[in-house]
Amino acid sequence: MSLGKLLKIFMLTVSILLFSFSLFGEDSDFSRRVYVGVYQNKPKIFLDEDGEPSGFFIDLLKQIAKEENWELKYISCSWSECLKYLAEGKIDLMPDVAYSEERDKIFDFHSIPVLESWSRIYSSQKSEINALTDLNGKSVTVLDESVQEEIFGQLMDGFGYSVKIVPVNSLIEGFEYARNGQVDAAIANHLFGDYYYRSYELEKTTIDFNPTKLYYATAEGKNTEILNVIDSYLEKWKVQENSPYYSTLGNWEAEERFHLPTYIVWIFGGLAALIILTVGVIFLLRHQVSVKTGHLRETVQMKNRALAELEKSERKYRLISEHVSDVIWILDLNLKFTYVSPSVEKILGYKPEEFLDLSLDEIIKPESLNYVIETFKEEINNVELNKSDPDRSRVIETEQIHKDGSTVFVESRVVFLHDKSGKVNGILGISRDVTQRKLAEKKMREHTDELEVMVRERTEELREMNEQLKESNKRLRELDRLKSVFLANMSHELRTPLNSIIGFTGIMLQGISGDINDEQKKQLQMVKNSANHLLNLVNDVLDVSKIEAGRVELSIEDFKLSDVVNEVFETSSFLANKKGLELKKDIPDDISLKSDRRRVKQILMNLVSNAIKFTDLGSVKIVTRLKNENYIDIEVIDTGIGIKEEDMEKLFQPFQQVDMSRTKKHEGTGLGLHLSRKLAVILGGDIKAESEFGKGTKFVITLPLEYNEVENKTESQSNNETEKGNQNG
Amino acid sequence: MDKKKRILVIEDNENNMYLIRFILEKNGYEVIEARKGLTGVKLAIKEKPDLVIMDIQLPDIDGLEATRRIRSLESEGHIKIVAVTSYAMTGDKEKALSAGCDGYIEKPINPDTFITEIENLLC
Repeated sequence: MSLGKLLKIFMLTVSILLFSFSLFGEDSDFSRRVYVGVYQNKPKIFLDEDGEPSGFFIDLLKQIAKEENWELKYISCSWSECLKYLAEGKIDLMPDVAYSEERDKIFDFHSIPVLESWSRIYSSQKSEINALTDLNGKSVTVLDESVQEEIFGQLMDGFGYSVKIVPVNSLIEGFEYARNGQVDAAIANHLFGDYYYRSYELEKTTIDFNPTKLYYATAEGKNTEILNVIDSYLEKWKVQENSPYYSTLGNWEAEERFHLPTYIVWIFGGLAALIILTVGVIFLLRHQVSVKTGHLRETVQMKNRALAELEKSERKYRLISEHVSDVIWILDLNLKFTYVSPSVEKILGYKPEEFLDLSLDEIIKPESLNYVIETFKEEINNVELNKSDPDRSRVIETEQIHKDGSTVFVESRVVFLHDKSGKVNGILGISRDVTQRKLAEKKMREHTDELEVMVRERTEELREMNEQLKESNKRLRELDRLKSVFLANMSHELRTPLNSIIGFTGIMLQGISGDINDEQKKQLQMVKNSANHLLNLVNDVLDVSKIEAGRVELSIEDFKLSDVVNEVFETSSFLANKKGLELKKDIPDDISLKSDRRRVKQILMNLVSNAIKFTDLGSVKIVTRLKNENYIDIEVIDTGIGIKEEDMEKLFQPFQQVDMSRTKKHEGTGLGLHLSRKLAVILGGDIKAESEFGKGTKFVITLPLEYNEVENKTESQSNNETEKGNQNG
Repeated sequence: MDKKKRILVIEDNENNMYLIRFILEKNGYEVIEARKGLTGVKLAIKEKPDLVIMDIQLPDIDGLEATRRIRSLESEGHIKIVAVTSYAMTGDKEKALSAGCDGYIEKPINPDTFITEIENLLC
């Protein structure tokens, strides 16, 4: 790379940095930006004759925005468009939305209503609608996709009336229909209707329904902080008589105060009473069900207990027969052993005859002894249980003393022996050594504790690492976003003066601003060429950055390949003629592609200008051939200087021109081939080069005949963020 | 010659405004200027020009929003609007058309073809 080029890039970078500081400075005045939807529903919300958003909801929002230092940006849309935009996140906040359960699933509402409103029927003068019954057989307009549409339909069905409902896109449209006699009446919220009905020569009827509360809404789970702020102001302002809320309300009030007519209150009071009554009946029924369920549960529990008893007795006999290696012993009521089986020696080291001379406290450790004696006493004295369940057993765990003084853990199952009258006269026991199990359990517990501590520590470490990752991820995303915004701004800021230079040199060259001599013409042409070159460089740099950030937006359409090639040749013919080169093509007329026309043209333009640049004698030719049923090869063939084999691999790298000695002569951005190949890959294809040094070069662009969105999705993510930043910058 | 056709140019950059005005006036058009989106909307509704040349990047509301507002306020007759978009911003063209523009001209303005493009839009 030449020193001059390095210097240029350096200057570009410096100017980019300078721009970035001034650009980001501008946005810092506001605490946040809120996109607000505006539709036509005077006096609540509308565009005034100057195109400025206006109305009660807008004015109130402006007051809040002033306090909170928000920047409000308005998007005008029809009612149903607005709701769509809100759900899609194109706007942050939608004013004047009535609450309904349906909407609550897709949107969030704040909790203090801004206004209360109800629907009212406005009739044309000749239709004479005074009561609900007069509506039968009439036609009525209602706002499309509104709450009224559904409720009014249900209301009429409920009365068994047949009313023709005509959906309209705006309330104004509805009133126009009613005035022109296309319908008998129009439904509107009373705020709009009372404001407008006279100017549309309509009558205000007394048919009111569907009292609703109106709010600002956001998309579900988004912008809750906006809703919280709105609530905090409503809470404050609605109790102060001279607050911004009431002064704004005063500006937009129609002829009536905003309160509910008394009969609506009565109707809804009646409904409320009915609901309370219904709830009472439900509670009564629930109570009865729970009593019955209780009875059933007790029966089941009794059955379970009986089953458990059966299992216990079965287990007792099984223990005795299966485990003869355990120690079997009998104790009398003076707590003296009268029998012990020989296996006692294996557990405690005493021979049976030695053992029979020992007292309990010589065998059982003091910490277990009390528990054993208490348990025996309790069982023996429980006369009731001895009668009802004489064969029951208990499991007792004790620490015992081996003849050598060591501790032995023993698990004993004991049953009580009875005389003929049913009185307890002895205790039969089967004991086994569970020392190994106990020690293992103890070790296991220690291990488990250790493991738990380790797991806790590792979890904590992981959590911290996770937090750090999240944090750095967030920072990276923010950096990425800033980079995109910055690039978009930079490209705008660099291109604006360049556009001026190109435009003015253009009109001077045309001679519109007055005559210029040949030398001036020559020099101006050089200024214009240089400016065009710089503009291409800026556009190429922007393209490369977008590709690297995965933010290329494609615009896929059907087009004829030969049209694109003709356009490329037309633009290049001046340069080709100057060098005496022939531009040739061999493309069937019927080949069309489904791809990004502009990108395909950009690739061809790059390759053709390259070919012209590096060819001094002969021709540049474009030939196509179908590679298979899905792909096409487009070949750009020149008879130029060619490329040495060792230079082939450098060909597609950025800022490389293979023949550095001729760099001066073949000036270019150094990005053309790199960019072209990246674009071809994004479009689902590729570019390859073949060359014989000194004889010429052939570039082969392979492209799919139809761009496949799913396959190439990862490379062509949406570019919205960049463009948005650009427009607002 | 017929009555002069009137063109409203909504453009915030002084140099661009001068350039467009210069070319248009040299070719016999009357030019009305607006430097902000809102002023542009107001003038479009009041003056009903034969054509509006709308820059997309404006200091207050952008050209797309200004176009939408003109579309929802214009009462008698369709006002022709042509957007001025940047070559490098893919997608601007589609956005301009969906906001309600009748056509678009690409930046940088090419003095050789500009007038032909304007004439094509006016007929």
